[in-house]
Amino acid sequence: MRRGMTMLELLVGLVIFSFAILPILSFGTTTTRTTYITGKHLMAGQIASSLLDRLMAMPYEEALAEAERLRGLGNAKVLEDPWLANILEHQALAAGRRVLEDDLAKSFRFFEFKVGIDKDTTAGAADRMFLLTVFVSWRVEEGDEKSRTALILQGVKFNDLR
Amino acid sequence: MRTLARPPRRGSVTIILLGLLSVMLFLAFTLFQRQRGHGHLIAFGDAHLYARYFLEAHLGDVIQQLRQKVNDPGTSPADRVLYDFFRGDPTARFPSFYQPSPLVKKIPEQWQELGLDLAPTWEPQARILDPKPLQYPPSLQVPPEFSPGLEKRGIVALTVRATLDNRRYSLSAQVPYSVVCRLNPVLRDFVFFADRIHLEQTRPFGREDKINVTFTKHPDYGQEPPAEFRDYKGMPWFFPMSNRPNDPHANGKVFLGADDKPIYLNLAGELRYRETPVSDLWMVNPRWFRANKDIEQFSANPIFMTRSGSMVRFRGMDIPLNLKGYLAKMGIFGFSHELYDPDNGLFSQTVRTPDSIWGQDPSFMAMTAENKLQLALSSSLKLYGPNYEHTLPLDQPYTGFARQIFGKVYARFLLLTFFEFPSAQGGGQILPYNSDGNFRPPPAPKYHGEETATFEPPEPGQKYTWFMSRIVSGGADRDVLSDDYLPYNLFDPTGKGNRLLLQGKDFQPADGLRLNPNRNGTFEGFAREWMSFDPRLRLGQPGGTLQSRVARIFPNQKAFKEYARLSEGKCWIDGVVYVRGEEGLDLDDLTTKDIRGGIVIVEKGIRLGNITHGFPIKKEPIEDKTLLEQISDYIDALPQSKVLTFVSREGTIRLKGDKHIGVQLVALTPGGGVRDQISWESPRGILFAGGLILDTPNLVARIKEFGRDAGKNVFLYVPSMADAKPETVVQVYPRLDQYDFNLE
Repeated sequence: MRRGMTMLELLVGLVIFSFAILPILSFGTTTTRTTYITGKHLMAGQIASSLLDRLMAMPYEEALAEAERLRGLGNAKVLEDPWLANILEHQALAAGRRVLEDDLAKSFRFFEFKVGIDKDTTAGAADRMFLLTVFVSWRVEEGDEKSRTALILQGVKFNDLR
Repeated sequence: MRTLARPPRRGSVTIILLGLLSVMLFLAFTLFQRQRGHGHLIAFGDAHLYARYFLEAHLGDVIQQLRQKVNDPGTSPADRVLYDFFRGDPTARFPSFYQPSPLVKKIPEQWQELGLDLAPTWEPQARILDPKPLQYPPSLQVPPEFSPGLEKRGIVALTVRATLDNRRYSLSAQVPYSVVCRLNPVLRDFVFFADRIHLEQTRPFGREDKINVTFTKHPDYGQEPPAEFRDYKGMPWFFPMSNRPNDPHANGKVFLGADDKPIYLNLAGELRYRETPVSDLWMVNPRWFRANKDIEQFSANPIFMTRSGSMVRFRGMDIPLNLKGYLAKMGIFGFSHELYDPDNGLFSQTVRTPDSIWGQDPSFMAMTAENKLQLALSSSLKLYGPNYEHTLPLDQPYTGFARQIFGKVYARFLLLTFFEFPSAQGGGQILPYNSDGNFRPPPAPKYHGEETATFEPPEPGQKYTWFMSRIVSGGADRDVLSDDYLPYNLFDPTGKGNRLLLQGKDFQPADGLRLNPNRNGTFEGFAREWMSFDPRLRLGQPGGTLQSRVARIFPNQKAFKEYARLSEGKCWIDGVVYVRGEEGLDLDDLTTKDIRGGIVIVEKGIRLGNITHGFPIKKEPIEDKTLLEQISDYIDALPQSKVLTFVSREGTIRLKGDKHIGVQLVALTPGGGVRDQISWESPRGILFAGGLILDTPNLVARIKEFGRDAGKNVFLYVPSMADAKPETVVQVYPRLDQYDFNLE
């Protein structure tokens, strides 16, 4: 009389379970990765829009000067943006500041931004508006520079004195 | 006993397998769904972001074009649809006006290349909400046709739309606007408005009279003023006429107040007739003298010989008396040094002296009590200018020009009357002052003493006092000669040439705005109401004052200068703006012709360089006649839209330059007494075309200031400032309300 399972049955069961669980684990990994990518994308959107909004909120001449300065930086690390650095400097988080800085550094370390400016060359329109293009790029794969992708936002800054 | 064994459970592995596979498939499906959801979320979030920024750009472009086109009449009817719409019926259909700018149009084209299908409608939806007429102070009576159609406020509601990834997005916002006049109502009609000038003449004579301070003399008289009047040798303020002498509005009105305080201006006393280009006696009409019934114009008659052998002539009239050859020769003398000068004066070394003629006149006594030199002092305000009398045929009377002088302003001059009869010597017998209407001077010898002649009024009931020598509008003899107070104004709105004191109730500008007779409206009351400011100034506040017209507030002069585009060689105000900041406003020379007028209210003081409208004016009197003619022509044709108004609320206005064309200055300098409100740093021949609005000019200080360089100081009016149709400007406020981004 056979009682319990034989070793063979157990092995077969484990093999079957493994076949079943592997894709599930794989889906889990994919999900995590997708969430990670989504997070990065949203983060890129936040960075691009905050950069754009910051320029849009400035008076026209200041915005143009700041945009030209940013354009001059070429591809710049997000954390090298003095504005963001300035915010960190002024964060009143005391003891938690180091942790925050570390977290931010980890989160944004592969984010880069670039600012482009287009002006209307039509006669008399040069000082009325300019088109701002903000590229924010990041690595989709943490260690793979080739996986860098970008998000582009465009806005027009108007001279409200015109 | 055999125990039945359970049959082996075949298929259990299969069941487990199937179960696991089902779970796996379910999980896979769920995860797939979630992944797809994430993808959608990202795409949706991005689309929102793209759409928002694009629609903001689109809306910004629409508003910018709106702002540009509302005040640009353009060159063709198509150009001015917005210009006309905002100045017309706000309930009409909002016209199509928008053409996307190349930069904004480029955005969807670029995104197309990136695979994003963005399709804007490019037809913004616009309409006017809540249009309301702007209010005026209660002291102003606004004709029905003026207010609702002219100055108003409302909201432009705008919506722009675009489709992205088959989703339709819209962005709506509301922009407040107002339509206001480019110039201050009422005040714009004035070339000079001093509503507390009475503080400079607390008494009509002597040291407390700070208005009649100019030491006048004939240009050829050749004598320096005595030491005590040396400071007052500066040229007076000349207010010449425009090229439209018969237009009551084109010459700029004058108000000297307060409304209920009398002001006396000594006339200058030009003795020559039809020879001089400048004088002010013309403002007196012969018909205003009660002794005269028929004479329409003055004549110039030689009266007596001076020590130098020349004949003294005066502007006057010969009134026939009751006997043939008997005349009352009445003539006007202005206040001048020639009148007083004991060495070279008109009466020097004659038996006649000012004292013997007017000595009994209380006005004369009051005037000369402190110093006889008071007779030499004339008004520092010459509210007239070039005179063309000498260009007219002899039979054509010169009626002066139509400048309206408001306030209780009287002309003051000396009347000298000779009783002339056959064989009278030296001009005849002077009729001296005597307050008794029945007085008769002693009989005068006639024909070498063989007979006598006695003055007698030509008609029964006529009084001696109507004919006698006296100071007219003197001030000290009100009870005796109350009807001889002559207003400093020839213009009679009724067209009858009557002598009238023009006051608030008589103010009838071309645009129809009047001081409210139901509220005893006065100029002073209006000016105070209109120019009252609440320190908690906010944009868009309702009200009936200038403050409620403000559409932009600048924190300092730098921001204002950027707005006005001064560095670009422009000066565009286009509305009513307010400049804060302790440093006030300091403008260098403004030589551009590219000026769009408006009202600049400055919280503190103002310093202005020259404002020349492109004329090559140096800092010296303009002697170039061609240039002067060009400037005069330019001023005559200068539209309201090019006139700049500067208002200093709490400071003074200092003029670095002395050439200002198309400028109205308003000084609200706090303080109650006589003080510097508008002054010139180094005048060398002022040319000012526009208007001056203040409490008191501080004439003593100004005359000294002008005297330093002794240039001519000419204050002109810009005729268009009094146009019947006030020029308006549309102000689109810088803020957005009701911002609403929607996925439709």
